[in-house]
Amino acid sequence: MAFTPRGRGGDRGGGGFRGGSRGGFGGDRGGRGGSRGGSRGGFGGDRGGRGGARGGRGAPRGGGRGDRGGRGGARGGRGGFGAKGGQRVVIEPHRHPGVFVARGKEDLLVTKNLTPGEAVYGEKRISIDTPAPVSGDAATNGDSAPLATKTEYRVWNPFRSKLAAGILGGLEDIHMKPGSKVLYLGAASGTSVSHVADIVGPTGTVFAVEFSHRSGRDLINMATHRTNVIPIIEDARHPLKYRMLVSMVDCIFADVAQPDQARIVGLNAHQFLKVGGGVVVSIKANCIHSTAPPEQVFAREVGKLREERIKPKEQLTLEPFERDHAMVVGVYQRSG
Amino acid sequence: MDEDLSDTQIEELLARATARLQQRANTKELATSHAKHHFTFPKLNPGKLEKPYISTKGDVATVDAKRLLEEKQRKKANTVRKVEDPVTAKKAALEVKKATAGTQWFNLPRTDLTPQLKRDLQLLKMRNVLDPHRHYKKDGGKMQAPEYSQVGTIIEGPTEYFSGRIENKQRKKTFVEEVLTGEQETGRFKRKYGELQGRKTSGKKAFYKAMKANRKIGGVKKGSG
Repeated sequence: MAFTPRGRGGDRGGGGFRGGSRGGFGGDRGGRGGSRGGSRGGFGGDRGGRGGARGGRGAPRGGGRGDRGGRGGARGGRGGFGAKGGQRVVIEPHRHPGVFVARGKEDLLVTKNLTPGEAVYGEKRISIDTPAPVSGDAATNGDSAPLATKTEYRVWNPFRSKLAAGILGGLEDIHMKPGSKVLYLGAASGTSVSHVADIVGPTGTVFAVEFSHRSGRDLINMATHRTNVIPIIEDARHPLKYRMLVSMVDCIFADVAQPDQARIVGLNAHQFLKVGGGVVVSIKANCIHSTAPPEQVFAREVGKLREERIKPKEQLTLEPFERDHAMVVGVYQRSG
Repeated sequence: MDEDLSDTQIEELLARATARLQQRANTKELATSHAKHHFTFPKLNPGKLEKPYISTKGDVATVDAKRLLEEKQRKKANTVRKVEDPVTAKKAALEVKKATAGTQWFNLPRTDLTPQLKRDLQLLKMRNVLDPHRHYKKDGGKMQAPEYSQVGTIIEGPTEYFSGRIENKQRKKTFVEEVLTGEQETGRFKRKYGELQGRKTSGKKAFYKAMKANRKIGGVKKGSG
């Protein structure tokens, strides 16, 4: 495949994304009306943004509440997606292995919860109602029925996770699937990491590297419940410091937002990535160079990746979800 | 008489005589070689013999079942042998494989297309008419049920108990029911239908009849507009 940077609205490559999820999310975006202060208006507060402004969000909308003045405006942001607890949705497999789509009034990107019954960061979940076991002996014994394996999915918010934004943007290949080993650089509090852990499943492993102790705490908390996540509180610039913890990996995901991001990715790739493994990098133009035009920054970063023997395969902007961000996917080629 | 024998006849007789003599000599040699082997008769006591399979006790003859078949053969005969038609076996394996979406999607089960689910999916396909303010990716064509799917219920986040939640009493079993209760609240579809009908039937037969009836009562005079 030729390497062609793609903007929004361009060819979505593959075209396999099912069922208009973008449309679904788009519906929410209607009323935001330019209130995009920070880079993301997350509600965890871990990334700045409008943490506390959630007052009336997600209350019943429309339906004769004229005093509200417009549907979207009152909701004050994203994260809610308008989907309410109690609504029924249909879960379908997504084009990417390990990822699912929940279809209802709007489409939601979801992953299968590795720890049914708990949410990691206050996200919505979707429980699958399995028919209650009507086995004869359980009913007659009066014992508690044998615990049916509960299936649960967690909603993945593209406004909070760049990987989710990339998937909705139509990435051709995310190089992660059930059973693969992923090195996640810039894990932060582990919100996205938890979804990557869901994707790789119990047979896969996620090595989550984060330098900040503050968000590393949350990361470790998350990892206590997910056995396939190995939290590493280290500087990703020094992969030798954690080399004893990390095995050969199939994919490196990097969301470090540092000026020397390409170098960091290269160092880790040379150390841990298998030949032909995938590299998924989220580039924030502001963090690399605050005044240069974003396209130029992206092009320069892609060039740097190339020097690190990472052959870029696709690039797309995360435009509706993030401003001046690009996602670059490449393949590590040791020789040639 | 002697004169009767010709020379040739005499020669023939002689040849026959020599041949007879030679033959006799040969048989003598054979006899002597036989005499060299001394032939021993077998003993009358044969030693231990295999017992016969069948033993008789009085009038009853019993068969020793153990010795009828070799142990290996018997084992084979006693176990259940599965006869597998390769065609059906292959088919069954494929069926098992296709029962779920596979490990790549954590064994998502095959769609159980109940009539309710079918209606839900049909409505999902046409959801762009439900809310004029919400825009969806184009999704035309006939409803095709997804090969693998599950139906689930959204659980709100821990902070959304009062904001992002439908009360238990108002929860519905299917997506269609949810939409229909929404219609009962807003009445949008009915209103829209009325508007359309009003526009479409304006000036047609029913409209004209109603107008005439109005005239009879004296509500509207001809030409008054």
